[in-house]
Amino acid sequence: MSSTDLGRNRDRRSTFIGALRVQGRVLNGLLTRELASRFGKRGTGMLFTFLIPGGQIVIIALLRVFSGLPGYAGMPIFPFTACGLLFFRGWRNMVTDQIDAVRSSTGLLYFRQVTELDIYLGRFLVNLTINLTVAVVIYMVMRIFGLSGPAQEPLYLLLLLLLSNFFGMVYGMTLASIGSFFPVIRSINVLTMRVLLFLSGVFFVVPELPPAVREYLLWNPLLHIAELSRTYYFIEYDTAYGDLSYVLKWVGGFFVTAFLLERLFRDRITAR
Amino acid sequence: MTPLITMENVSKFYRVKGRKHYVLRDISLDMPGGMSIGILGRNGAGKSTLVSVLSRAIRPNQGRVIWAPGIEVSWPMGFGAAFVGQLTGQENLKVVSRFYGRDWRDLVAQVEDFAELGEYLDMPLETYSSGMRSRFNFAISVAMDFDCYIFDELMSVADARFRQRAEEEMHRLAGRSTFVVVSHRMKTIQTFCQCVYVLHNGKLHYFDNVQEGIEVYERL
Repeated sequence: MSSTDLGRNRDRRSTFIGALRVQGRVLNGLLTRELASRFGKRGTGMLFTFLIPGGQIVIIALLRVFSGLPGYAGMPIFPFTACGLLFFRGWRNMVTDQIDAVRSSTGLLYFRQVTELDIYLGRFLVNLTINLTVAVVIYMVMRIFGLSGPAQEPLYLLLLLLLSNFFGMVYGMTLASIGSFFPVIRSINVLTMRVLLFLSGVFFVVPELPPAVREYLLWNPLLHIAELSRTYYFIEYDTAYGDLSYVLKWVGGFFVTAFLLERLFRDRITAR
Repeated sequence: MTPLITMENVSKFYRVKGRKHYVLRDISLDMPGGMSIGILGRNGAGKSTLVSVLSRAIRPNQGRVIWAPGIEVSWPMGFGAAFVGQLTGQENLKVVSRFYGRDWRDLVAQVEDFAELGEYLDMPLETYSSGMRSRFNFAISVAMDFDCYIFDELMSVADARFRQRAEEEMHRLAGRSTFVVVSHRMKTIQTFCQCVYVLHNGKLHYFDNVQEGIEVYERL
């Protein structure tokens, strides 16, 4: 082979379009890998993806009903619970998945076109697709069985889901970087998620809280997301507490932090 | 001539009981382009780490590795870590075909033909024996069109028949691509490489005479 043969594949990457094509192929490969790893050829994995959140919605809804708290302000109980749970669950799954995204996939880095950011992005897209599909399927089931009226602002709900999932990604990336110094962050995260489940509006809306508690719980951006989701879903509810700009500040803050830390500590995250 | 690989002040260490154990220590060199390169070193010298650093899967603690622009480089053949054990051979092929924009069925056909794994291609990689895994790794790598192939102790567990076929395939590839070969089999180095680096005490020593490099390595 002569030296002039070096880089005979150069044309493939030399243009911006070529780079985009490579990026598209990488994401396509990562999605294929993630979906095959999660669901394989058996349908059971796919089935449980819907059954588990569906079951949780039923249980939480029944808990509220038996506690003498049916849906607030005329909101039907099942979609009321679904709004709170699906947004929180999607965020939590995204966080948990991103924390170990790179650490558990370092083998992918042997493929030279795959970068750490591709791995984060690939997992984000897979989780977003799953969360969106679960939400749509559960919504359709509720509609078919007459448990819910039509969502009032489906486009806003979609954008809110996208925002909360993106929030989960950047928060998870931040924890991944911190976790490269302090592995205990993973255990702390598990504990935090359990606490947040009860503080993020899955079981309640803000007006149901005692005024003294509201002020403190409203520091939690996930509670704002739950409030906004119910406002966009129901004609009966218009939140006086959910603040989109407050959520955007959290997302923006973690966006900057996540990418900064990722760049600074990339070596530690991939260290073997 | 454009260097194939430029290493600038590359160091890589692992912490062992709180102390830095250097595998690569402040290496700066240009690996020549247009020829195949052999890498020799005793067990534990750090050849696999070097290959991982060269292939970018592991980042050096210091310095950087630059490949000639536009070069398509393989993953290190023999490194099963690039594939997912829980996925079947076919599923892994599908992932790789997507990464490289290849037709999946075409890739499966080539690997089936070369690796002769039969219905095992439809089983998870973790069920393969080391020899089968080695055949799979080799077949999938050579089915791709790379400018440079990285071979790392690839054929150590393959049977004699497959080794012979693999060597024939390497001869075919040598006509159009270069290799970076890590091997304890001197015959492979002598056959395919035009220069050699010996990795010893964290440093790479260059020999443009392959036989001379082998002799130095054998005296270590």
